[in-house]
Parts: sequence; structure tokens; C-alpha cells
Amino acid sequence: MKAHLLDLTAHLAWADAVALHAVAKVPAALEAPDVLERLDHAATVGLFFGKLLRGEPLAPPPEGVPAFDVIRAKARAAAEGLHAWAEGAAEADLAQEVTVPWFSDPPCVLTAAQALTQALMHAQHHRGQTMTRLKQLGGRSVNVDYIVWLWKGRPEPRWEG
Amino acid sequence: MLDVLQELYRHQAWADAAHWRTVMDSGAARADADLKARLVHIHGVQQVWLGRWQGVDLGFPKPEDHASIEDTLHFAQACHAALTAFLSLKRDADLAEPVTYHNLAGEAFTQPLGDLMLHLPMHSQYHRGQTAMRLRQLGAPAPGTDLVTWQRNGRPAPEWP
Repeated sequence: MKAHLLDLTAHLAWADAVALHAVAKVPAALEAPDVLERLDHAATVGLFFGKLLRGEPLAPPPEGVPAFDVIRAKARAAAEGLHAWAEGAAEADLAQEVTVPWFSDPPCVLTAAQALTQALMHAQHHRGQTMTRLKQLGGRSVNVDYIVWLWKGRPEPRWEG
Repeated sequence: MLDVLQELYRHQAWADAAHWRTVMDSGAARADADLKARLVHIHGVQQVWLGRWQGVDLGFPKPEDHASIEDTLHFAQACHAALTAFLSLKRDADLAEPVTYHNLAGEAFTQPLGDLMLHLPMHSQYHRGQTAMRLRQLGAPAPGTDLVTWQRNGRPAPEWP
């Protein structure tokens, strides 16, 4: 199970880095509240799941939507945190149960592998929406499919530049 | 890895069916060409990949190939039935088997079946995010289809309209 989770977390980092570069090229997107809010939401959820998997305390995120550069740093921290956790996890760690605290009725108890997969799927859902908005705002959508990442030989994310 | 794929494909069917219920409940959504094109794409890609895994060309439909939204709904149901049947016959060892296929540009690729099968629910998830956004723009209440939502509700079977 671990091999595919490593692939998926590595894809998350690459796809987010590519998508954020695409957003950075579109001034209207950098000023669009819904775009920034969505990017921040995706990064925040990724950070939360990383903390959950590492057993760290969760605190409510700060009020308001930060600037794009702050969001990009959050997205990078989230992606790197999830991938690092997957790299260090033994099969037994993946099977451990975690409780997702922001769902209470009924309690949401998942294995760590399922929680990690949820974080990845959540990011994928919102990445698609960001690409749609980018096109609406005059930008160019980029193909960040998992299969494209495989075709390209599993490239590392390029966050800077 | 087989258990992960089974989980993701069951979720994919449930989530797609939930979106379809919303589409068919909304006159604006049923009549929207943009939404239809997205749905044809999601399920067309499901058909294309299933064909590649089976070594046959099942074709990639265009929106105009479906005279009505009901045609696309029936196509979606058929795609999911075929994917479920295909996956039900697979064992873990099958997922390491190389599959050679041609992309839409005619280039040949060879990759393990498991990698290719992982791509499909990720692709659907990405575009389902866009479909949800479009449904909201049309005034239709897009359902929550997070993986974790499906899991905490007892992994229900898909409910097609």
C-alpha cells in the first residue's frame, strides 16, 4: 500500500506547484477572492491532515485569506508534510486509526492511509476548480493529471521561480 | 493495492451517481451544454481507459454523440457497470502486469495496470470538482462527495437517478 501513497503524495506536490505557477501568471487570479480562498482552503486542509497524521494538536486557522505568496508557502508545507509522513510510515502506521475531529456526528474514524487518501482527493477536487477559474480569468489551464506525472517520469515539484 | 482501488472505484461510482441525481433534478443543469460536455468527458475517459486495459478501442464520445442528457446518463451507468465488472475479476498480482496502449495522439506507452487504474478515480475527482462548481453556478445544490463523506456514511452503494 505504501508505494502508491508515496506516488500520490509526490504527485500532489508536483501538481500543486505546477498549478500555483499557472495561477501566479494571471494577475486577475491573484486578485480574485474566490481563487485565493479556494487555494487557501485546500492548503489548510492539507496542513490539518498532516498534523492529524503526525498526532500534532490542531488549532483553528487564522481569520481571513492570506496573500498568494503565503498561500503558496502553506501549500508547499502541506504537500511536503504529507509526503514526508508517507515516506516515514511503516505499514503498521498506515493501518492505525485516526479520528478526524471536525466531523463529530457520527465520529469519523479512518485508518491513516484512508485519511491521507482523503487529503489527496480533496486537493484534487479543488485543483480542478482552480483550473476552471483560471481559464475564466484569462489564464491557461495546465494538465496536472496523475497520468501526466507518470509519463513525465515522476518529476520533483518545482516551487520556486 | 487492490483494496485501495476497490475503495476508490466504489467511491467514484457513488460520487458520480450523486452528481447525476442533482443534474436530473435541475432543469437548468439538464439543459446546460457546458455541464453535458464535462460529464461526457468524465465518462468518456472512463470508457477509453477501460478499453485500453482490455486491449480494445471502445471510442471516445463527443457531446454531440449523445442526443439528450438521458443518453449521457445511460452511458455513465454503463461505464460504471463495466468498470465494476472489470475490477471484480482482478487480483493484486494482476495490477503489476504491464499494459501497452496508445494515447489519443497515437503514441505507445507501457505501464503497470495498477498505475493506470489509479489515474482514473483521480481524473474523475478533478473534473467532479469542476462539475460541482458548474452545478452551483446553475443554482443546483452540488452534493458533498468527499471520500471521507462516503466513508463516514457507511460506504453506501451508488444511487442513480
